[in-house]
Amino acid sequence: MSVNLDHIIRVSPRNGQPIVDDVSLTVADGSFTALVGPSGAGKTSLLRIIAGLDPHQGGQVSIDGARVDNLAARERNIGFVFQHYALFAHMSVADNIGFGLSIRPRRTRPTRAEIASRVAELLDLMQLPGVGGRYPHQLSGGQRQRVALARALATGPRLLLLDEPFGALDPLVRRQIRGWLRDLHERLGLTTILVTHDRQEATELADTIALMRHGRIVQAGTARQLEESPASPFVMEFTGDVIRIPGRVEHGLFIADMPDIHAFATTGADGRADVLIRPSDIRLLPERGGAMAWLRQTRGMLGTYDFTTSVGIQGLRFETVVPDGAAPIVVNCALDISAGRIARDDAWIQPVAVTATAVPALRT
Amino acid sequence: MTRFMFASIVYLLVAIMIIPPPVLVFVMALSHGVGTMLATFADPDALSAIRLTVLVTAATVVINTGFGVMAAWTLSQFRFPGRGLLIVLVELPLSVSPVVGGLIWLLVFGTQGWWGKVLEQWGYPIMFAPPGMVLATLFVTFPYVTRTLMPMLAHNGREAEEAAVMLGAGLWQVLWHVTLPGARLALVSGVLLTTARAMGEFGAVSVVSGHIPGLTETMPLHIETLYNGYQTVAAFTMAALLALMAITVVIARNIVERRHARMGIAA
Amino acid sequence: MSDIFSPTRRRFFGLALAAGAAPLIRPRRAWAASTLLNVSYDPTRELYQEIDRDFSRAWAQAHGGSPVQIRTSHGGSGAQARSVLEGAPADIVTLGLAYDIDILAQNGLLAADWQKRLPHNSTPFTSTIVFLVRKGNPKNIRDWPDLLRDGVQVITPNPKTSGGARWNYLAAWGWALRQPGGTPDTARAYLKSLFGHVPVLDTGARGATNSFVQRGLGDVLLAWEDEALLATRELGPEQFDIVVPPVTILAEPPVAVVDRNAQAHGTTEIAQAYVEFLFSPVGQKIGARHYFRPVDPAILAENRERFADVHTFDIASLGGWAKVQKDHFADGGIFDGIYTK
Repeated sequence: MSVNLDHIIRVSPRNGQPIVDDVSLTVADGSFTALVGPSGAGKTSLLRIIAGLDPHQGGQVSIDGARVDNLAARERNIGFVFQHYALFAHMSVADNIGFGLSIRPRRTRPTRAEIASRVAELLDLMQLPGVGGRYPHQLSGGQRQRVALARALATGPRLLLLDEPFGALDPLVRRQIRGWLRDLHERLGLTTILVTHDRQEATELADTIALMRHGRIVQAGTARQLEESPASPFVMEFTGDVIRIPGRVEHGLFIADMPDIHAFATTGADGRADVLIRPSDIRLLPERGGAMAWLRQTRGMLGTYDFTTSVGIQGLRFETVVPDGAAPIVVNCALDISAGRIARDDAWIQPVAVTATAVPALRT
Repeated sequence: MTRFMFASIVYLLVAIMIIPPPVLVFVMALSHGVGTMLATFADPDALSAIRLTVLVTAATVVINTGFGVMAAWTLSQFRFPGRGLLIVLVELPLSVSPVVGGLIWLLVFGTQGWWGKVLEQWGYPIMFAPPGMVLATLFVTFPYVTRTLMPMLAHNGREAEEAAVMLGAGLWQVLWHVTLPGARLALVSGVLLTTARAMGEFGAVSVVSGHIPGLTETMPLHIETLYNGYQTVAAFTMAALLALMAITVVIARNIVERRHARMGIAA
Repeated sequence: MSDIFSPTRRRFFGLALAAGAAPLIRPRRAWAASTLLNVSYDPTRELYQEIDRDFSRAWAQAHGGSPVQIRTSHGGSGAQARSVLEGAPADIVTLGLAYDIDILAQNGLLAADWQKRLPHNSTPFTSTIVFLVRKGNPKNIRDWPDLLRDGVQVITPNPKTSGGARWNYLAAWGWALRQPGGTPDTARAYLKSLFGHVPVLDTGARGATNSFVQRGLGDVLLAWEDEALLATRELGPEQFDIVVPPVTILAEPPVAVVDRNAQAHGTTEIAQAYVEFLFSPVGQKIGARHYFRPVDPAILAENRERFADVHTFDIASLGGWAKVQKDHFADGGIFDGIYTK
């Protein structure tokens, strides 16, 4: 099932501030889409609007081309997994999972036996055999999460929404469940939208990432698209390690405030500007300046350098390719940052690097 | 050191204020032997008072549980103008003297009251009859279910209710299958509180009772009548029975709340 | 699946509902013709217990039917009148003073001339106000002035709610007026001083008796003669003595059929029989046994030794209830002036 969001607006009922601000997004059938962003970006609100749990003041939500704005949440046939699982504490695991089927009107309600077999099937799928008779408070966090998922899947929803589903789990369990969830998605082919504030989680799970900030989608695309062609400095900073080097553009050159950084040509207009660069894109230039770089540790071809300028003693730490035959302490060196992007006031003035020296193969 | 000092002060207070009255009640009840005590229950008026207490309490609990659930759910589920005022009003009976609670009904349903003439023609007694006593008890015990239930519904139930909605449940299904069972321990606790209060209510019921032995006397009223009639042993025997009933309810409520706390931590 | 609506629960709910509804349905039958409600005042519990039993038996014999069931409710006379006014289904009222029944008559519950419908101003028994003191009369209380001595605590209920208390009050008032040089002003001064010796004001005569007898409060209880005699008998003569002051009031607690209620309940005939029974020799004898002075001279003569000789004045000599009520007990009346300052 595809989902289409068309200029969705939701304002806070308390102070009238926009929570979701003119969001448009298409989620392809069978895709796994992650809504990512810092907390307060409007991710969960958007998810709840799709579910029908929160109203929106403008725009349209369509599922498979049909508007659902006037459908109540319970009529949308959407599976929803809540951050804190929201299991029914007074019901057994089996009753939790079977709930959606057991409350159907008599005409469409499966028999008890049918419900029981569906529950058993889901427990198998969730790798939770034999816990049907237990109660939620007797399960571990990871087990509860899977019960919540099974419950959401039991009614055969056309769309699955996950709201920070791993937030309350410890890191180890989180990683396990992640891989398992990806497998499950591939097996079921169910269109899934995940809300998370964890970029790695999104990258690992989703084929499309929509990065949100201040109620808007800043950029949507594959993880790689976001990382390699960030639409804004915010996207670049959110999608990976970034070193920000302040400076200015003057007469077609970017000049860093720090000494011992080579100026490079740019087409941007004159004025204050920052270079944003992935640390691995920084080049160390021995014998080209007055700074000192101290190799702290190495990892394959990469090394972590502490870089200290000769004048004013300013420092940087970055990880980059160790030049051939370099000593652990490189004196009289300088930095080449021309592989970076130049930003001013949260927008690019030169979005693509001037020199294409990136070595993507070495990135992790 | 301070801890022990405060603990002993509390112990002392309880030993002086809380323990002696019930103990004395039992001592007085048994002062002329078990036989005399048991003879109390041969009096049809005493049996009638026990029966009426049970019936008034049962009616009150059933009605106020319904009202309380409705009020708590409405107040925790929806935001509407006047909601804050409504919450204050629900709590009003806690601060208003029970006697006022009785007089209100007299004002409405007494023969000198607003509906007095209508009721008189209808020929159906409300005041100075069990229905009036139920009304008076309803007023006094109105807040208990609502107040114990509301915080539970407001804080714990929200996500579970939404989960049920996403699974296709309608309003009533959510209420019956998720909200109420989820808050059932709070509900039981509120019901038991209502029960204890309803059984022991004197002031409000006294105003609308007419004190007719065998007809409109509940146990607390009958205790007063017995005491004023110099039937000391009988009065204290009834008091002991009432105390026993109340203690049972309080213990039941304690057990429920302890279970509540345990499940709250686990789930 | 979730078995919240399992059959057992539903059945329990139905039972609870039925149990709750049951008392709402019953009272109607309870007021069938064979049941009478006598709304009475405080110190008559023991009296009407016996009256009710004997009348019921006599009525059954005379009419060849099942015994009539009589219920009697007790409380402060004023409070009881108020209940009947608000709808308590009394067929008969037997209250502490005529004024309380007058109020019911004013509101149409019975005829205005109710007091003329039975002999002796509808008063089957009279009583008087006496002093109940601790055994041996340690404070040596003999007469009204003794109540004002230092260290004497007097127990009497609140005249606003209690009929007995009004009699107490008026006995003191009437005595003060009858003293040489007695005027309303000297009487007022006497009462003001008297109420300065009152530590608690109970709402009814029985409450005041309990304060004195069971809780041990005070040195002297102003009480109905019958209440005082009952207290000495019930709680042992070794604990209390009765002091009859030389001059006191003649208390006349009247009885009446509440016409409108009795008609509605279909009990007029039996209610009338009940109040008449009080004036019969049997009823009069029962009254005497419970220390109420019979109005029948013959029965009174038989019981001469039970009742001390006493000089009394009656309510008419003070201007009648309507005037007394207005002057003394209405809001802002003499009693308010005495007690608030």
